[in-house]
Amino acid sequence: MIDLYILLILMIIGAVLALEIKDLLSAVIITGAVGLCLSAAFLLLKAPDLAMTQLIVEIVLVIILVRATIFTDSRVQQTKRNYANFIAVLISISFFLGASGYVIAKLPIFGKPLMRISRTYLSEALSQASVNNVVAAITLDYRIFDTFLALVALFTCLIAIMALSRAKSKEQKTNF
Amino acid sequence: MIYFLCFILFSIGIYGVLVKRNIIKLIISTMILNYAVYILLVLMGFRWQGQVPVFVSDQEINFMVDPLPQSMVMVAMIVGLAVTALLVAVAMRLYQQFKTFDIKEIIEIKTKKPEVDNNA
Amino acid sequence: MPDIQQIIPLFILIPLLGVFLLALFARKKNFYADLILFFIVSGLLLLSGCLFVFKTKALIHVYCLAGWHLPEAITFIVDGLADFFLVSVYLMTFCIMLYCLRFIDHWTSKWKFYALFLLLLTGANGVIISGDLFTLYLFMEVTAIASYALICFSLEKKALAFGFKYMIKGIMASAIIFLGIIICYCFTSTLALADIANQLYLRQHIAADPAMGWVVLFIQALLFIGFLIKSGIVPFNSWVSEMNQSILAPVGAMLLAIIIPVLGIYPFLRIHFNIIGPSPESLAIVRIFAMAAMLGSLFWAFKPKNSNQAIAYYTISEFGLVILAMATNTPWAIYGGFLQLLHIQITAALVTCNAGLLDYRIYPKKSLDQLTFSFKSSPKAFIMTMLSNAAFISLPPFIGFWSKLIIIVAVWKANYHLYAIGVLLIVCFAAGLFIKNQKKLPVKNSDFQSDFKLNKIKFSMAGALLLMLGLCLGLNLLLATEYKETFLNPAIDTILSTTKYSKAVFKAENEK
Repeated sequence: MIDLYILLILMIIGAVLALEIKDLLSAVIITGAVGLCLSAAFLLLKAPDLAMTQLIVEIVLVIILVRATIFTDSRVQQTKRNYANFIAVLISISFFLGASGYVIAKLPIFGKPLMRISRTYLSEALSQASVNNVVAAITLDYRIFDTFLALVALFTCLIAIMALSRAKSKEQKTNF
Repeated sequence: MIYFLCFILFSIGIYGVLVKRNIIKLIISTMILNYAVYILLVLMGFRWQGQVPVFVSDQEINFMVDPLPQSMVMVAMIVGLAVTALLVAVAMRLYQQFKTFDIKEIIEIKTKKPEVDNNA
Repeated sequence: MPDIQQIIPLFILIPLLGVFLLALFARKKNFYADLILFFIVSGLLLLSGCLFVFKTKALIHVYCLAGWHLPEAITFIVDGLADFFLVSVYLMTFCIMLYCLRFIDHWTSKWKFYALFLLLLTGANGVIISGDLFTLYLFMEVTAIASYALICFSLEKKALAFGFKYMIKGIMASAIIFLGIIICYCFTSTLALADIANQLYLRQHIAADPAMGWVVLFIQALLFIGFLIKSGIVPFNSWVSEMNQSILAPVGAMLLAIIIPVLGIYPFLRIHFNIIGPSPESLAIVRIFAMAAMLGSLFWAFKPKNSNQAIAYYTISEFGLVILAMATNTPWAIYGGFLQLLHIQITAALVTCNAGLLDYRIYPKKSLDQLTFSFKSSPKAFIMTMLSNAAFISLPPFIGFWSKLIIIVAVWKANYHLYAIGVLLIVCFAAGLFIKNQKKLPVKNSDFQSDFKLNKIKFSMAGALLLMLGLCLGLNLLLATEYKETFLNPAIDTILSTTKYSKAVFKAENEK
């Protein structure tokens, strides 16, 4: 699994670069590259549906981020660093990483998941749902309600963006 | 271990959210948080010598990877897209009003302004 | 009489139907929007009342989606705790809806506000009745997105800046909650809440897995940090300080009365008591944490910039009191905790709406602290403000007084004398601080009517405030035993029954 390790380390380096680089447009492009590494990792982990979806989602996000960055004047950030905040955050993050390292050692090891209900899904998908692709069977048949909620979330976001983009926010009436 | 690398990616995202002051960097940090969570979930469903969970030419069930985390990530990706798009819309509107992307300056401008607010 | 189970999905479908109706019919005329919103919310209030009135023999109603069976199915579970939260959320939504009907006339695109309001209601309902961990997370996301949009709705500078800060903290909290869910899935390999409880119980008592303690503690810590950031409890309160002064009054009321209990208190209760099960150590940690949260918010409430901030911090400290009461784990303390939760919901909404009403009367808009009014210039507003402040700081005839009394006595009886004394001191001190800070609202004899044009207060807004005030007094009925039996005992029993919840759910599902 050396290629998975390489991809993850590339993602970490890309994330650190994206956060530290001063030019905003380059930061957005590097985020796109991190998303591409994620898509490749999904392919290696035998999840082709996810790879396709991640590619599409990441392209859309990079496009709208580039639109947000490009038509502004402050293309390059100039800010000072607040050292006390920085050190406090570093200490708490190291505490979190230590705790998580201890807990990870007790979880089921990588490559041997306990698959209780997934076994039921895998064995029944062909007979009950009549589809060959088990991930599609779960997303669209067994757990279709989760997909429905994701669509409700998208719908909420649509109404929210419509509400945010209106030209006039307040009525100028003086008499109610 | 490979899970630990995902936790490192997650902590980079948390560091970005708590420390950075530029709005675009904050949005990028939330995207990194999302990526870390997706990769961790799919890693937890992986099986050694596993195969794609698709029934093609009599594949054995015993060798398929876990399909449920993949379905969860699919749904979570859609929700993540919606939330990030909303964030970018708010960021663009903020830039229109304040003419800067720095959140500290925005707070200063906001508290310096007098209280009369005739906004159309 | 149809099967009670069939009503359960209606709680999610009816608000969504309302959103579609609004989008179809109410874009041009505001009157249709008001009509649709009013009927949908009243209908839902009656429906949630039905759950109490037509009680069948079963105490838990389980609805499996699409006919699949546990543990693969997605379920909706309505038991005593979910009943209580549903009815309290609907009472608050009804009052806030009455208040909104005329308040949003100032702003354009009324139907979008109502659509987001109904979507928030959908998400809140879903969180309460969901029986599956991943569905709970998705409903929380829907609620969160609707709340982000409502906060930014007025498109003013303060609202957008606060909205962005709140969104970033909210997304971080969602990511932390998702991380907790992932590790829970990796450990138990199932997503249904009842099944997770079963698995954890088996691994702890039958298999005696030594890894159990630390992993469960890590999952709990991650989930609770996420929930607490979303609800603004100290020490995760960085977004609370500008809450009330930047956003519209009904949105502030919704945040305090609906979002914080539903996204913060309810998942904590469900997961800590019913899924993972309380152990003496975890209860002690939660008690210490709740006490620290109350003290911390008092520290911040010392010198608030204006009265809105004082309201926010006082409310946060009262939420700490609810968690302390629940963590004491005796029947009377939990009873007091539920009463206190009702008290917070109603009075926080009341005080926020009242502040908004005072603001609404003045055009052009001025800050609340520059407002001067006295008994002579506007008697109705003065009396209303004084009464709502009295309800807020829990003076005797209102329900807050009885709830705090019951909590203090119950905590003392459970042999936590130090906690009881601490709570008494904190409550008196916070009430005193609040009164002192309300003096910032200058009550002078100045006549300001000549300078500004006063808007007449519409009947529905004043009616909403009167209704909330009436509820503060009317909920004293819950102290009477027969009402406590019907409405509160099932909720108290659910919390006390801890992990027997999963057995009850499996039994209820098999009996269908």
